[in-house]
Amino acid sequence: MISPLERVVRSDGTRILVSEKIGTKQEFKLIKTTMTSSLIVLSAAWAMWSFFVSSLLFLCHEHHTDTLPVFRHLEHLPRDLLLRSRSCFVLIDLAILLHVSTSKSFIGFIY
Amino acid sequence: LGLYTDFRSVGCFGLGFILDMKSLSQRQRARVGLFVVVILNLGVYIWSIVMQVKFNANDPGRIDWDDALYPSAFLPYFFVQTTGPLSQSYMYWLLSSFATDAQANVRNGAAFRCLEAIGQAISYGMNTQTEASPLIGFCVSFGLMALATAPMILLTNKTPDRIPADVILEGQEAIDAKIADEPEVVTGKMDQK
Repeated sequence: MISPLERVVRSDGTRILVSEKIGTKQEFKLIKTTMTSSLIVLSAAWAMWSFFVSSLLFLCHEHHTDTLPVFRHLEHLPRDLLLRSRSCFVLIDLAILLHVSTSKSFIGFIY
Repeated sequence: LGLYTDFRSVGCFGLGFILDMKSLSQRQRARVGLFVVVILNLGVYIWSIVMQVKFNANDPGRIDWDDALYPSAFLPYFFVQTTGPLSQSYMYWLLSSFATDAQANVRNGAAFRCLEAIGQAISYGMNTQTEASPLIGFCVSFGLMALATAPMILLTNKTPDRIPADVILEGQEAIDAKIADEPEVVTGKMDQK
């Protein structure tokens, strides 16, 4: 079901460029270059921020600490129920994802 | 409840619609995407902070489903479920705009995810301080977004008009097609000889 990237064709007929395999030493050099690249340096603050928000929400759900400010006042925010329904919808999401992934346009979305 | 839990998927598909607009170049889409993500997040932050400041000034006590205050207190939580994942989805799309091949795309994504994990760790640490003012988390998050926006503007201005990997591959395919045509001519001459 999972096809190697070099065989993947997008919905517009284009393919994905896959380079030749390189050695571990060369790979480490490239990782070092990546970590200090302007792309990663400029996006660093965004990375920290984008997951900062998610973690606030996650803790609010998982530990019921109501750390997200306004919600400690809500009488009926049944988090257990929300968590259960969320599990169901994760399954539905997966089913949709599986269905969409069989269509060609999904390949472009991944890339 | 279904709407609540799945609204993030709807939001991400909405952003996908913008980022897939073929009428715009990659750079233009990056700019529009950044604007949409920042504006939506800004809206939710302002809304949440205003609500919390109001609650701090006048404690409303418990708010029930049918209270008039319920929608304005609950909806920021609903929307923040969408704007958070939007910012992540957008960034992974932006990283792929710089990819020179599939492996470089993975390296960039992994490096970015590594930095995300640091943000997550700091956030968890802050959340253990449950006695601190609930506004602190939001204000730090708001400040981080403001801090992140300036370099992101620089980054979107550096975004190539087309994904480098696609341009390289097109060039390679053109050369391959040329080479594939040439041997037939050579073979033809050889046969004639």
